[in-house]
Amino acid sequence: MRLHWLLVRLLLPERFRREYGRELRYDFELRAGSARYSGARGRLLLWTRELADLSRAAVRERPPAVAETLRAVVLDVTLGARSLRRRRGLALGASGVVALGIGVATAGYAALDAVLLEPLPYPEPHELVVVYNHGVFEGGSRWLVEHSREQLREFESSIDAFEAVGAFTAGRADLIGAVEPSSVMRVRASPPLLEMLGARPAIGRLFGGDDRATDVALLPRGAWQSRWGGAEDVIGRRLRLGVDSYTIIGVLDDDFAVQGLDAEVITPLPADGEGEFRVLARLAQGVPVDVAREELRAFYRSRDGIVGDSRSPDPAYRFPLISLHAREVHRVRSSVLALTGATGLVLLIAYANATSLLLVSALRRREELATRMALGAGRLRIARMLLAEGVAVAVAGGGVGVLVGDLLLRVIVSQQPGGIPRLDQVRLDPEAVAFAFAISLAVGVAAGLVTVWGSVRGERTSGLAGRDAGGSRRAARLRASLIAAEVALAVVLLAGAGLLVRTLLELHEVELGFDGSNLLVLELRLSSDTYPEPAEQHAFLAELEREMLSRNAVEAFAVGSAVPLGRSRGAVWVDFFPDDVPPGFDGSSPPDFPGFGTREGEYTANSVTVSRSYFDALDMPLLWGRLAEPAAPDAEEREVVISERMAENLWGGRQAIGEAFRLFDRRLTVVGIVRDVRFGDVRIDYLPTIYFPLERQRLDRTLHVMLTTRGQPGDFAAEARQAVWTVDPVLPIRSLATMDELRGRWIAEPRFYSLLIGWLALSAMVLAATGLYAVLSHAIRQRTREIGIRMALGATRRGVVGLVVRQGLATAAIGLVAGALVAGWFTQWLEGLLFRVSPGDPGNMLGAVLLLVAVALAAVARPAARAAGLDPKVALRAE
Amino acid sequence: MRDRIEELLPLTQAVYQILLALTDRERHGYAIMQDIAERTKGRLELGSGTLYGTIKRMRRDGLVEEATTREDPELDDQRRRYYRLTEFGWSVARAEATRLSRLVSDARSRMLLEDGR
Repeated sequence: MRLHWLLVRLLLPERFRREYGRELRYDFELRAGSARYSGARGRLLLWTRELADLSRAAVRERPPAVAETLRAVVLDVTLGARSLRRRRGLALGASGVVALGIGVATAGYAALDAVLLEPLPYPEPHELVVVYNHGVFEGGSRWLVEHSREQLREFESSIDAFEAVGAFTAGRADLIGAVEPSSVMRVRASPPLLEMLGARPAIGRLFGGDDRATDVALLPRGAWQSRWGGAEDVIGRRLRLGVDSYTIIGVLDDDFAVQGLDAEVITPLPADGEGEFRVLARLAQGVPVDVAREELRAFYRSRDGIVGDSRSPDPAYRFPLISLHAREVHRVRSSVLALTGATGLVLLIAYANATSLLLVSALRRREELATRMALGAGRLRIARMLLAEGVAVAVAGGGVGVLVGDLLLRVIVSQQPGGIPRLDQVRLDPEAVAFAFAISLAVGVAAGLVTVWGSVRGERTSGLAGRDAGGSRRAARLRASLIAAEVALAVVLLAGAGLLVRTLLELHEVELGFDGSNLLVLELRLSSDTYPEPAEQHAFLAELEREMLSRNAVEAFAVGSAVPLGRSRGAVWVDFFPDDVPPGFDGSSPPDFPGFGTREGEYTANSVTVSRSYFDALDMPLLWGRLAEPAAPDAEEREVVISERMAENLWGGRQAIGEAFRLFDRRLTVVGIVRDVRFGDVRIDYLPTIYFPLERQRLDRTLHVMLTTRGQPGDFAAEARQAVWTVDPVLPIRSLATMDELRGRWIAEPRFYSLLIGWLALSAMVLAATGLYAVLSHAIRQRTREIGIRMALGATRRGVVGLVVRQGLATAAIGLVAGALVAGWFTQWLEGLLFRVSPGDPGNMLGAVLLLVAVALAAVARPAARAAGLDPKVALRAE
Repeated sequence: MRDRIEELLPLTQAVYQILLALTDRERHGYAIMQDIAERTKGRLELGSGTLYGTIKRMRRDGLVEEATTREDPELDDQRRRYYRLTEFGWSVARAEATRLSRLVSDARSRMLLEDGR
């Protein structure tokens, strides 16, 4: 609707707007809501009609003089289009170039808008903030995510800046009672949170108010449709989440997402008792975030005596209060900005290219223009004509550009890696189309102006005489600068693309330490309700193993609490016996163990519980020693296997065998050392890991079952599910993926970005090359006589070719240098996306430059050949 | 008054149809557009810009006036401005209708219009 109002403001005079503006708005809203104008075609029809109607009204409602001018402009552009039809090659070329630039820029703008600019879909979203807690520890204070219930109450009573405070927790839970047992994202929310985020019931009601019941549940619209089949009678049905039972009391009119988590079931927060919650707040109207932040800091300071610093140069992202929007887009902000900047660069290149083409065309028409002027056309009239041509070319290109942009967006949405918020919602909406139109207009006018400036001066007499020193020198300089600019921008894009492609290659090459090509991984969770004792848990696993191995496709079966490249990880802090401290231990953990704090005197390690067949299934060789024997669940002495890195860090390698350390008063003896594998993100280093034998232990509730398959693991997926449900029909399967898919998750984002920038860089190179080619062709044509003279005076063909090549490369060279400098600045923005390559990598820059030199040489090849092939006699007679 | 009426004829399609739309009751802008579209079976569809531009001129010429401003329950209770014909507007409408029917009679006398064509 704001677009419509923008058009009204743009087109209609103020008096008319004041009188009838509101009615215009109402009527448009009503029409937009009617069935006739629904769907994509309907909307196109609606907007086209509205635009036409408003334009007619715009002309009619204005004083006659203005209306006359408007009509004259339309006439100019129509004539411009007509004259271009006579020079179809040029028109198509320039339009095509503009179409590419506008398409790319429009897609970039639409993506920027959807991801970074569009406000969150909540009422008054700018008032919503994420509230962090403050904790004091030895050695300082830290910001924490969760708050206690008491703290919540204090916020409500003592912080004036908060108009409302909402609390929630979120986590996965096993759902039973829908179409099939599964693992869902469950959010426990307080009633104020529902209100803050604008949740409204479509069927039934919300919880809250006087209703203190906690065994009720709400379903967001999407979950209701996908898991309950959109059943109308869902109210009153029961569902089970883990061991707890709930009655469904309402279905929301929309989906419900909080801080990037898409809820599938919503239950109330427990009314009392202990608990820690995440907190969102709505600021009182008119209170700026800074002021609220200071109030909160003062609150913490008075409670704790000190308060930590806000820890960020970015004013939108300072603890303890961060706007909800900033929190959600923070991670991707600089990458998205960099990409949008890159699309802007391509647009500039396209603009330079189109302008250069128009300029060349205007120069070729010098005689025609001079004739017109001799016949009485003023310079202004000629200028208007050239301007109108520029606009016509650009607007035509813009129209096609919108289609190009739409195509690009579809590709982007289909290839998106999933970590970028709201990218899946990007589409070409009327706002983006208006943007495209505006940019086309701007490009057209700018190109037209440059063309005019470069060709109209001094045309009156010299044009007719056929030779023109002054004017064409200026035009030549202009063209050369345009081309240099194109080359410079192309260097920048190539440099960026080079870095991202290198990153992608590095990620692919990262040594994983294991072979996962035939593995299918299922994540299961054994609830303590159905499987309270270790004996029952192991009985289930034994039966599952029998069931799986009975199937042809399965070669081997292994279980672990975590898998390499998966997301779960457990950290433990171990310490050492006083008379047995390892030589490599310097008093605290390895410094690069991410996500878990270090503790003085203790060593942080990753801990995994594994079945005997685990290492075989992953093809992880046991380097020294043997596998650990399982102990009784409460035994005080146990055997463990450790990873290579841990052995080297602490004991220098194989000497670790036989050594012992302590965890929770248990003595753990190292009996084997196994090769390192990557747990978690491929980008982090190998984690020191302790492997505990699974058998006889009380199991972590989350287990990963690894199946080695004959043939493609993906093909077995459906059968694997059935096999699990044969053993336990109501056991939810949390996730199912091949090892390749797990790995792919880590690579998806860099791959996406390199795809985008690679495409942009390619466009840039093609544009720069064609620009260079066009300019040089024209230059050769201009200098045909000169070349003829040179050859007549004895210049060799080699010399002539050399002349042309030097001219072409000289132009490009300036662009290369400028581009290299700008690239140095631009690539910094990509730092967050890179892996094992630095933004300023000189090899990369050199590569980009050399590639463009090659492109430039290719562009000059044909013109040079043509110059060399000139017959001096013919050349001398040329005009 | 006769002269004033004569000055305004012939009416444009838009003006005539708007007058017709207001003969049975007061309406607001959107209702006028809907009524016209329905009555002419889609032959004439006025956009808002054209409609209000025309209404503006009709008000200036004294053909229509603002009636009231009240909530319309069919439109989520938005406060809409309602328009109605003036006495003069009635006269003009009738005069144009008469003029048109005379033209139709002329055509019929020459058999140009045979049974409802």
